[in-house]
Amino acid sequence: MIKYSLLVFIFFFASLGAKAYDDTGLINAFIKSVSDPKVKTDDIISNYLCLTEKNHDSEYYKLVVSQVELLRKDLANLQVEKFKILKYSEFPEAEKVILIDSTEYEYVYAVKNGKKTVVNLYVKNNKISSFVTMNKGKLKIFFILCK
Amino acid sequence: MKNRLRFILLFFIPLGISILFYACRKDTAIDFFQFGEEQFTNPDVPMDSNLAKIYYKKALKPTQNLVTANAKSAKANKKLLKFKDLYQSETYEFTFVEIPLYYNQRPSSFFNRENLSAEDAQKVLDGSFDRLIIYKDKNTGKVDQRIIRFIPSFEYLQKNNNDISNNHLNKLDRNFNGYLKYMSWDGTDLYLLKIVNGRSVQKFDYKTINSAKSARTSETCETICSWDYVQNCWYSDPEHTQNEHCGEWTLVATSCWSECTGTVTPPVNPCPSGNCGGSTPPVDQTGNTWPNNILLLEPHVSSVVKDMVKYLECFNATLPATINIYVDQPEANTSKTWSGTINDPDVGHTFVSIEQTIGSQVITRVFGFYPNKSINPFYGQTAGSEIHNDGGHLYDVKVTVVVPPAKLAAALTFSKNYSQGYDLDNYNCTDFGLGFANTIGVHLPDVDGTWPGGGGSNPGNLGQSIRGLESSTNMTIKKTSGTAVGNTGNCGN
Repeated sequence: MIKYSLLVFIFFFASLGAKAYDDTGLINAFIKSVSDPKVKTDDIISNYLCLTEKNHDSEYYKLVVSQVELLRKDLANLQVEKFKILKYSEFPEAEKVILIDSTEYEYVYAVKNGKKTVVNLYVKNNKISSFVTMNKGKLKIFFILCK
Repeated sequence: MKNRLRFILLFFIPLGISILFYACRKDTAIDFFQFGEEQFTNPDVPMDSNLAKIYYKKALKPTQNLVTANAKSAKANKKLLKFKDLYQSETYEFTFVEIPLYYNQRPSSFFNRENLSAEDAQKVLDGSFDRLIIYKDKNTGKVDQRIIRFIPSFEYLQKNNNDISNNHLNKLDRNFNGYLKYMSWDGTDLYLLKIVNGRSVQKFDYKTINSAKSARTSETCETICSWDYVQNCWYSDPEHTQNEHCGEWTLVATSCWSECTGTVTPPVNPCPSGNCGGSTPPVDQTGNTWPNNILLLEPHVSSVVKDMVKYLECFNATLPATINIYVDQPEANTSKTWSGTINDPDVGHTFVSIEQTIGSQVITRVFGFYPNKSINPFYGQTAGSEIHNDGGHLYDVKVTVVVPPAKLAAALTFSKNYSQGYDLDNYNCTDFGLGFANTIGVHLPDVDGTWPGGGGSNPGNLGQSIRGLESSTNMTIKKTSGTAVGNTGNCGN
């Protein structure tokens, strides 16, 4: 009986931190895969991105491939193990320029290399919904990958 | 039966405790500010004198005898507020009150950059003062507080006859030089802003200053030293210098740190011999995240306009006005629909302004149309829309028109009823700008462009179309880049 009680406690408290842990783990794995030339772009897309477009010949799929490959270039020669992941609430004030509803803040992360932002990410349902933003001067808007 | 009871006790009681713990954990911050008062949870009720008094009485006064964190002395430090001189104001995100603070152990600080004599240093200590800021988030209704110490430079203090009490957090004199030191209610140092000519030019985070992990040395470092004093007071008005009821200033803490290019190294002891009576500043133990834009002097980025009717309420629709249509092209003088990289494309922006002179006051409102959330250009997803203050936004092309009252009225009506949703292809910022221009009789060419996943009106094409026009008696075309004006006139939000 005591075992049951312990299990309830452990399960409950473990679940409290589960989301943040999962998102951070997912982002770390995504960044490592993108920076690893041995990992195929198609595998990155299928493993980490929420892309609903499955036709590899479509204009949309090709664009996403280009975007992942550009991110690969950006990460080349950087020490990804030194990157830090910030939640939206931890963003410096000057970087809180992403136009999202306040209910979406929990999905937004920044991958930082020192003070520089490498990429902003929108993570939902254990998939990366976006790593691309549209820049309107002072403000940014995420381009969401899936429907 | 006994086993069943044991099961219930061992299974459900821990579960209940867990749920209770979680519920409390989640709501701690909110509960602290609720007090059962509706006005504390309603974002539409601004922070004012009455709310501030309730907040002080219930949240701060019970803990006012905490020892000031900076002080070496273990003597309790009592704080009193001078509500009579309360200053009430607001920023884009907060409503707030600023209240002078009294202490029985009045703290003060200065920074040694000016190589002050002891006499001049004392004038700075006398001329500095603390104010309590109680503020309320306009979006969430959350209430919080900070103590802010206004520390003038000796020169600025002298020019103002040793009285700088006319300054407020969001209204510093243009020639204010010195520092603003942010602290928690117990006196723990949080942040320090360096102010030059009334503007914040540098921010120091005491947490970083005290973090040995961020230690770095640099040949281009400059040393800053902080000196914290207290004086025992029976009664003192800290904002004026009649300190006849206060004793001598006593040094309680001093520390130095190096200000390097973009980094801050941890403090070093300025008195290695240990006979200066100083100590290193305390580590920020609050763990608080600095709330949104409480750094009220930091330049504000774009801000959403919550109420367009209020935003435009200053304009008089029986008088003429000057209207500008601004286009920030992705790449100046090209029709490109986007520039930069495919992972962070600059798509440009179209926005507008209305300017009117009423008597001696010039009213200006600058605004543009944005989506209110993320979008997907390939799936044609639309979003809700919102208007943002675009004051200070860069532009490449500008159309200026002086409009008669009837056309101003039409433009105001159009802007106040902007409720259409945002659609990247069919109704974006440029469509809004073109629609706005149409209402005042300016029919700008609408040329579509394309981008991955779609196409439509856009700043690149609109900018080039406008460049093809020539100025006339009614309309001025500016084809060189610039920065849009900011809002002027004290009304609306």
